[in-house]
Amino acid sequence: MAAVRLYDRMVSNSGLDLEEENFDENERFHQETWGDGDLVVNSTRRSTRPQLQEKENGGDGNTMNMLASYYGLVGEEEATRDEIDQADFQMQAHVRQLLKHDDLEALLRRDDELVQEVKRLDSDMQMLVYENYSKFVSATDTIRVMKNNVNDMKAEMDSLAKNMEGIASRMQVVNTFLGGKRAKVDKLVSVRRLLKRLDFLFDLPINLNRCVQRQDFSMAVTCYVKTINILEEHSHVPSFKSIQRESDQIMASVRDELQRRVRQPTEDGFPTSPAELALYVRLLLELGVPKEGLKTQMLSAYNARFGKMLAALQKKDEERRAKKTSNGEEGGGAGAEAVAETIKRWETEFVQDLEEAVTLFRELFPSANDVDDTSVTNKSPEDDAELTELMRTLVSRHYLVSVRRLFQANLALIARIPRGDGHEFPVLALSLFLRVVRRLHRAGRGAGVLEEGVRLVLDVVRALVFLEVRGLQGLALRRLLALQARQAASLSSAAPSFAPRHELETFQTSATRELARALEALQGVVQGVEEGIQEALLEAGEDASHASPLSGSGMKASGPAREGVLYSEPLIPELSMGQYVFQFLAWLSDAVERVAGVPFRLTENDLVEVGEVRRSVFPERFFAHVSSFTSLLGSGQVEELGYPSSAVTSTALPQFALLLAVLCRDLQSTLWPQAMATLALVFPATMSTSEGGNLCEGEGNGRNSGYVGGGTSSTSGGLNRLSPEDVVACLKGSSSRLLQHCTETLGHDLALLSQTGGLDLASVAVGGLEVAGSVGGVTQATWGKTFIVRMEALVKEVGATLGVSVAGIGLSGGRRGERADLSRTPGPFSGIKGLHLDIERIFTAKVQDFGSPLGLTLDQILLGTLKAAFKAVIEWTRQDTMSQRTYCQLMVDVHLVRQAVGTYVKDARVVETLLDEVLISAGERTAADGLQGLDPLALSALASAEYSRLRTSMLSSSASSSAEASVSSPSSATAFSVRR
Amino acid sequence: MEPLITLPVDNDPSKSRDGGGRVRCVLWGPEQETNGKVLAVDGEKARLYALQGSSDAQEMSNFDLGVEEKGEVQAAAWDPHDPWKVAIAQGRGIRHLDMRMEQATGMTETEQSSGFCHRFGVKDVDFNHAKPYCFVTGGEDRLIKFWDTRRTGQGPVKRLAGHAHWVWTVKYNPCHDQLLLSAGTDNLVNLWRISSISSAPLWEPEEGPEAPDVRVLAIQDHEESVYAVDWSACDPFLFASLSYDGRVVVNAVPPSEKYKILL
Repeated sequence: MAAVRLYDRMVSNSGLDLEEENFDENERFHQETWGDGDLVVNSTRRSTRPQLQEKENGGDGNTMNMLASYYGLVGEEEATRDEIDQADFQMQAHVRQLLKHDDLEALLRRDDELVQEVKRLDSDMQMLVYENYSKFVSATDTIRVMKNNVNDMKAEMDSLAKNMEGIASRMQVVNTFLGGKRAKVDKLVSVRRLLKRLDFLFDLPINLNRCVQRQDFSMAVTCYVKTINILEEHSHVPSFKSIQRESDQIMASVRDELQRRVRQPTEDGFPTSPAELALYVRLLLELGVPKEGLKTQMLSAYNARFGKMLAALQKKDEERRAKKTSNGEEGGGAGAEAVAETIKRWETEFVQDLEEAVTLFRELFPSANDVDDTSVTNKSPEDDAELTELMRTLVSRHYLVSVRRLFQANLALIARIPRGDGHEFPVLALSLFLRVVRRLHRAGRGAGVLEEGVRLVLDVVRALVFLEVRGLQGLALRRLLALQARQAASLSSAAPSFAPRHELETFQTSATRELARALEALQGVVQGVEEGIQEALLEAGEDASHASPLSGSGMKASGPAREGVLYSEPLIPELSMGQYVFQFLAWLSDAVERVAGVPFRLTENDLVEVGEVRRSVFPERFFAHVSSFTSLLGSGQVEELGYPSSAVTSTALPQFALLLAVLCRDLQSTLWPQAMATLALVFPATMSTSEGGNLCEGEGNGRNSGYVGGGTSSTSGGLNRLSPEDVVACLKGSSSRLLQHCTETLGHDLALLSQTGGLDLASVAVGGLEVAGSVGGVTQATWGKTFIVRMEALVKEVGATLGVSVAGIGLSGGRRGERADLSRTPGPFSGIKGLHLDIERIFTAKVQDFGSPLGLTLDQILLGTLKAAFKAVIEWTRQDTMSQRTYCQLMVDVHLVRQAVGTYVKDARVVETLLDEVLISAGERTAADGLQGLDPLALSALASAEYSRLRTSMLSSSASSSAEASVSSPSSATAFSVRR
Repeated sequence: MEPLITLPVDNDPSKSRDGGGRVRCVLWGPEQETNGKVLAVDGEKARLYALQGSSDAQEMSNFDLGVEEKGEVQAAAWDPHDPWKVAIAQGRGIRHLDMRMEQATGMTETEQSSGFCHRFGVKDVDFNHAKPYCFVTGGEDRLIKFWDTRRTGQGPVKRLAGHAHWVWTVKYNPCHDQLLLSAGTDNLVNLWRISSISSAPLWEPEEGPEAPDVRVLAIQDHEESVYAVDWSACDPFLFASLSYDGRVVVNAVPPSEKYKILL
């Protein structure tokens, strides 16, 4: 507090000038004393002082003005100074003021003004005086006349009073005379009314009977209800009693009749119309029939009525359809119109009635909270529960089932019609249906009609998509099989007529075209339905917000709310068409492998690699949620995919696998980006453009786009969602597996050639002749020649499939000419077993990867094939024992092949290593004495001689290409393959 | 060591490439009923011998395997649950022989009419000791396949792909059929835990390294094709493998796996 006092003193000393300083000081003070509670408090108090001070000093004038204005003292001085007319006008001061401030001109002008004003005032005053005087004169005259009149009036007033008295006395006389008669009349009137009533009462039974005869129950009930109270009142009188009894009997019969009518359908099988029914029920209510029983009766009557109605409608529809099919009208247009028509007809016949019924029911049995019962927000939970239940039963169990069946029956129709024509039908019919659903929803809220309806629509759309995709699948599969057949025919014929590149392109363009067409057709459907669904859902959402505060039962509120979550943006997760396209492509990659008979095709049950997250594709599973809908279609209406049996696929040509591998690769660069582009164009909502751009590159870089995120969040029905990266991975995986399959099979076939040679030799006498230029008695190569010839054919086939020009490739073309590098050849067969072989083995680089993915190049494919072939030869060699003769033969052949392989693959070392391995293994499996007498020089000479001989013959035969086909035909290989 | 008994073989040497006499495998009868019985499969026939005493063997029956037509025999396995049944890996399929009938019950029609288990050829077959009707095969298509003799028409129960070249041999652990050894010409020995189709499946999550079926070990110690693997006779978690270059590698099941099975 000391600080405050100090401050006050300072302020009083220095006044306003201190303000700034004080503020700064205040700050400083604040900082200095931080942490000391007492001082901090002081400082904060101080900080308010400068503002107060400011008000006191600077704001002085303002305050005064405000106060003055408040008390009405504004400008007193100035006003008096100016106003001549004021009472306290000070002449001297005014003149002084004028003299002081104004110049001569103004003073003169002012003088004139004043003089004129004075004159005007004088004349005015004169006028006033005259006027008032004349008025005064006339007034005096008038007063004199009035005085005379008043004297006459007095006499007249007296006579009037006397007359009035006379009238009053006479009236008194008349009244007393008439009084008795008037009472009599009143009594008579009341008696007459009573008599009339009695008459009605006595006639009541007759009247009632008449009404009943006329079937005018409402009249009867009105009469009865009106009279019954009176009858009750006078029931002690016997006649009344009898009347009451009689009319009670009649009314009992009426009640029975009414109840019968409510309970029972009329003769023609239909219960009475809702209006009639409501009338009966209202009458019954008036008759005092208990409410609850009536309610249930009415509901059950409704139930029976609408159930029958729907059944009849459905039957009629079926008959119509049957007639139509028997007439042969099966076109999509006819089907489309028929469905839309049927829905419309049902709407007029069924839905309208139902609406009416519901309204009438609500009128008859108003809900408990009548306060806000405006016929729209009619949601007393306990009262409406029954009606809601009825609605649910009627709509979901009858109406929706019928519509479902209708759609199902007609889906078959559009499944059969040509693509592109059918999408009118579902759109029209579905939007009609949605309209109906919304009507029904408005009629019976809380019955989940909307939800069920939307679900049905989605089901239909899903089924359409399913059929569409299935159609595409069937088409693609048939095309693949045709492709296979053509290739097989071409390969087995002498003159190959199969142009792989062309065929592949045709396949891709047609697939792209069909996919685009299907997408467009589906776009029509989805767009047509989307709006209706959105509106419906909006309505449901509003409903939910209305309902939530009221209904504690939870079920009603949770229905639409859940729906809102389920179908929020994007409209329908499963309908995001991208998924279907992805699934189709993934399926295609899968189907391709199936057709080619690749054994590594993934299935759910197989373990492929350790820890590998299996993202394999199972289209059947993806569409599993549709099957509930389509299963009712019957087996004949959904196209079964005619996969070839495994017996066929197991013998599929490896060349076909290669073709499909190339196809898979190409799909990534043709169909895939085009499909994405179409998708982005047709369903822009489902595809963000960035995604499309990303995918066109065909790069599965593992970036999780929003699409995938959205997919994982809604796991409805356990769908197997795919990301674009997955699809690319699928295609890539298929391609590499197909390729691997191809090289393996080709390698196996090539390896079998060596076995043929070996067998042939077994029949030749062992040991024997020492011919000049022979190696251990072997004078010529056997399977080596076939091997090379086969390789040549293979180079051509593969080259054609890959689109590589094969003119300059291979032995016959002399791509790289002869391999001059024969210097290493004497390595592994120097004829010394044991240690030497071991050393050889140690220094031979091991070739291990036989399963690694290969690139789609001619070199890689040939390398893979050769590797597989020679590895097989190695293993087979190790299984058998050999004679010296066989060993020599093998050596000659291996050397021949060894000279040729360099022309096929760039990196021949790997293959040569494997060939060495063959000889090492063979050496180990040969009897100890079998390795003697081998001349490496003779061997290489023999091999190169054979090689050049073969080459010249091939070069000449390549001119007449037909000869080659006969040599390289796989018949020799397959004949032996049985043995293996 | 001295040979006690020589099994008499009377083959026609001209019939097959190696004279038909090469015995591919010899199997002891696994149970009481077949005690003293020995099955020898050579390049031509399957022969069942009865050992009499310790010095004499008599051929009880034989079965012509039709090697020319069906392909060479690669391996055979005696069904531990049915003393008279044997499975022979021949060509691309598996043949089940009933030795009481003295004729084949026929080749298992594994992949429908074409009748093969493995593309290119089957290399080995082994029965599950703990679960009847179940056996496993390895083949030249690099796959290991599990079969159920009651459902061979539906294809394999499961397939494993973990080898880069032929799977030469597969061996169930004789005590714990969750464990399986496989070895092949890719110089690799694989130890698998295949719990989902074993006699006592372990409770495991669906995905990840804790999945029911995983490759526990991939032993790359061999530099040559591995042609034989076997489990230790005394310690059920010890196994050895033999490669072409004569190297034997002894290994043990990792303790964590062991405890998973035991606990």
